[in-house]
Amino acid sequence: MSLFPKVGRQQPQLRLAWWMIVAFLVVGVVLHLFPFYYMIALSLTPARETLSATPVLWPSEPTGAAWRLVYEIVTRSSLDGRVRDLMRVPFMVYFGNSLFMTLMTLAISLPVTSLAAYANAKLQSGRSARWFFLFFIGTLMVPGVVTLIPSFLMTRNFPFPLPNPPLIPGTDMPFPTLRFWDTPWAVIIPGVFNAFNFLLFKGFFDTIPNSIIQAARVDGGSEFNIFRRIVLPMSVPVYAVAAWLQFGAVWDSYLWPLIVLQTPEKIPTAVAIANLMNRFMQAGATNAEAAGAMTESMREILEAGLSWNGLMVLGLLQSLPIFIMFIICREYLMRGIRIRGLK
Amino acid sequence: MAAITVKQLTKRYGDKLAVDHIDFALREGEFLAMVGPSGCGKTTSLRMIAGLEPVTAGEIRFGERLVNDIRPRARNVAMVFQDYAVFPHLTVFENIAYGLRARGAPRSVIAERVPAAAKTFQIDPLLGRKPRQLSGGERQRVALARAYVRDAEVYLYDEPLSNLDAQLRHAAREDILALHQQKGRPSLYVTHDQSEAMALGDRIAVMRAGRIEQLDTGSALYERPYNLFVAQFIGTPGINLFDVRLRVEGEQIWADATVFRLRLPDEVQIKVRAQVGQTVKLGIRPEDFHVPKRAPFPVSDENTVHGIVSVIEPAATGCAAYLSTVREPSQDFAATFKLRLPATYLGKEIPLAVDTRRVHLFDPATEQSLLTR
Amino acid sequence: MTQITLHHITKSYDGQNAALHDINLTIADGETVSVVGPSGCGKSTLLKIVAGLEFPEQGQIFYNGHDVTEIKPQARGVGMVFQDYALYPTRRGEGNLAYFFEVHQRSAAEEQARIKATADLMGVDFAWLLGRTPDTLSGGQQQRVAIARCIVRDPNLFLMDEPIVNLDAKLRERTRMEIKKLLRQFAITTLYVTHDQQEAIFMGDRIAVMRRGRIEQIGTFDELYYTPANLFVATFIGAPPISVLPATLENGQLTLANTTWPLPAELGDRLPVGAVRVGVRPEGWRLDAPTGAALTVRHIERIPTQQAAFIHGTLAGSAVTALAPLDYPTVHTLAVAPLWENALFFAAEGEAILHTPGTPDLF
Repeated sequence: MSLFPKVGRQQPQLRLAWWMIVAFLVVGVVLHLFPFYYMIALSLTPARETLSATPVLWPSEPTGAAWRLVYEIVTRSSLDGRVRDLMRVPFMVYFGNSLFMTLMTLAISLPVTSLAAYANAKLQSGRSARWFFLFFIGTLMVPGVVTLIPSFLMTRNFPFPLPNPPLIPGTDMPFPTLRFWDTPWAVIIPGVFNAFNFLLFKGFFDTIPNSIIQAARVDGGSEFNIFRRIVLPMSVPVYAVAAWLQFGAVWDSYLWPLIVLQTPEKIPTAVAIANLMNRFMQAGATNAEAAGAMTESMREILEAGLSWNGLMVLGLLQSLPIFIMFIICREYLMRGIRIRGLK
Repeated sequence: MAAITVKQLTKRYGDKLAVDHIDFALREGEFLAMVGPSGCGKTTSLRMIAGLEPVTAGEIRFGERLVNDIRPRARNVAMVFQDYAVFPHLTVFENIAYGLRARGAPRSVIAERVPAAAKTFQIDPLLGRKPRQLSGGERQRVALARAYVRDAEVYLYDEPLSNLDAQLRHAAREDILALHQQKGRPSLYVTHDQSEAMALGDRIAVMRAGRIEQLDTGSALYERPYNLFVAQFIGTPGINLFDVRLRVEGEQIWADATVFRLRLPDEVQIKVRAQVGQTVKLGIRPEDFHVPKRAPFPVSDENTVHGIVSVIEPAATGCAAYLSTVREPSQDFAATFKLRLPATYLGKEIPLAVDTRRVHLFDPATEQSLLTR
Repeated sequence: MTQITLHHITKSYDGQNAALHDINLTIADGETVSVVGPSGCGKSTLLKIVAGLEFPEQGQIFYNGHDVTEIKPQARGVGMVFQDYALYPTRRGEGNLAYFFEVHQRSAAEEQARIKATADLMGVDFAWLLGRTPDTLSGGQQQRVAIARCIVRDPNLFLMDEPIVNLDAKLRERTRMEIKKLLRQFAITTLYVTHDQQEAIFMGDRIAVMRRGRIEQIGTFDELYYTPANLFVATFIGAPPISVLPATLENGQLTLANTTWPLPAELGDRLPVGAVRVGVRPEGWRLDAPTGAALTVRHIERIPTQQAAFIHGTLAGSAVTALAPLDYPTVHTLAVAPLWENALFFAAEGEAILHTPGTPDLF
């Protein structure tokens, strides 16, 4: 740890400081990881215990009942009609929607954003480069909620953020508009340029010495060839990070898909699971009084998992693809860092 | 009692031995230069003496005091870094005053010493400026003034001149010498440039792969190198090396490279009698070649080499000529003269007289010198 | 083969100092021109303009009479070596050399043939470097790959931007010699930029000295050393540098450092009366002169490899360095007098040269 001088560590003063810092960091790590642990623990707890007043650190009798219930719901294989009612459309549909939206956004957004960043970092210079950079980064300063309604209207009457398209001057006809509301494109298109990733890419491309690009130019490569053959192989770690971050952002996005997607078959898993959680909360019980007031049959289902434990399972399911994506990206990240031979 | 004593100093990084059990002692007021190629361990040794790197094994003593585990702050050393390490957010005045302030010196002392130090290095008009407004050479002098203003026990320099233009380096050398002469403290100076080490050092330690190959005065290193590495390292252009076979002809020992033959002088012959019949390495320094007409010794076939001139590099004190031997296998060698060889000689064959009294001979396997030690 | 002409090149950066003012330069076919100057003088910018990596605001560049000012570097057919080697980090040595052939859609056969020829040229151990990525190579090895990359495409022009500045002193010597031999062998027009005058003198047939965007003087070493165009060139070329001392000239007598000497008649006639400055190089001092001025010796630097010693001292407040034999005794004071046939004369103010001795007649 280079925070500490390497020489003279044995002295008691420094050792005390060292252990205090270690303790502090351990507390930080524990605080950070605890919620995940709690989710996993809770998902294995019987429902009754989840409702009890005392917090559960580890279930007295771990049970997979909640997992089983959720499995039956998503595959619609339960014999109980009420359970089947909880989810009317096969889960695979939702999953497919999410996958399509997320991967398509990544496929379009990463090239667009990275090429914009490369142009700004290496092809532009001086004042124009700075102004463009500020312009793009400036979009990060506008809160999402401010542009929510205009964006929504644009999905209905692209490119006009108006409820009704204006008339072509001098005629009675309205302008032709594009409507991609209630299609996956309504989620994909706004995500095509990601200012945060732009910042990430630009920061990285700035660290590439200009001399490498100049050497490639002298060698005869066109700008795009240089990008593809020289810069891209060097940039694997940044792409891995950007891909993972954006994957998480799109996969988890709730508000925007909720607004622009109306048909139940088109919603992504994030929205679907949130809906399911709502129904759980209505049908099931999340506090002790309501549990007491339930009918006997409902109690069975409660036992099974219609409570916090089930909700935790759903939460974990939603997080799982992001975790998998992280593992994939980490591989590329590690590989890319080893290749970088920039001195 | 030596001012700095280093005993069996070792530094290990994993499997790699960066500094391999080195020993040396620095006298009071001595300026020791540590020189060697990249990765030879000179900077690591310096940093251990400064207290910036922990010691794997061995001892470092300042006088009697063992300082291995003492933090840099408590060792009372002043250090000048390669990239000057001037604090960019402080003015020149504050930069120079930093060490004094950190040690709690009273304001009157600071107000007196800082301008005096600045004046010594001719940067007193710059006291109010920030480093980004200064040139490289000026920043270097700020770093020197910062070291000067303290009353350190030991002065350490880590390649302070390598980032300067060649032009500025000569002037900066004078500044460092001035600093040393004024303070009179033991100083350790690390560089990869042997001419700098020769110009500045009272003694010079030539290092390679973590070991000290030879520790001696500049002229001793030049005239009596212990081995091939030291002989090659000291001197620009470097010593010329030829593979020769030692033959006896009529009771005289000759060095026979296929491209030339030289009769060895008597004092050399005595030392290499055991190697007759073997192949050894012959070293001739560029300055030991002479134009036959101007040679300060008798010239004959016994000490003449022929070469074809490929490059003539003019210099104020004469010129350096780069030649290749006439017969195959052609080998390149360099010769320096006190006169200027006209460009008309390019591509021509010229005879050169060799001062055989000053040649060096090395064992090709051990690389040790056959003449010293 | 290519002859390069630069015609009234001007370039400035917004907000930066580095600029070029009206540069005119002609490089003959097969000639090597070194460009040397202090940091920030614009030498790298000049190189980039010749390469086409920067475009001048005014002026033109001609390769063999063709105006290439607007032509992109991709099409100029130059080979360039950079200060930080600029190797493609994700490719091995061979990939670095092959890139040129890939973008120009040359046949694989041609690519292999050229790479092999270049590897042979670069020496026995070069083939090993071809299989390594740059991050596994040392500075010197990377530089060799960079040089090979420059040669492999058989360019019209070599452009070198301080290629050996980042190497160790010893490695620099060796690499310098290798580069020089290559240049000799190929006889290709070369522009070599450096801040080290020794290197510039070694590499260049002619040397251009630059300062703040202008070429102060261009010529052979002798021309720059013995007949400099102004004070800057006189002080820049020559290590240790020339000492410039104020003096007064009156009635054919020169007074310098409170000592007066009679000037030889031809000199006295050529120079104006009054205040002047005298430039004396280290070898231009007569030591132990009977009518000399007193030099206070600060330090004697003995250099066995040059078989000479430099006496550093002060003469009436000015720093002076005098050349002496290696075994000159250590003294604290010394009487010196300028050798008039070597001295340069400058105007009292400004940079103008009044008189230069010209190249000495040695034989």
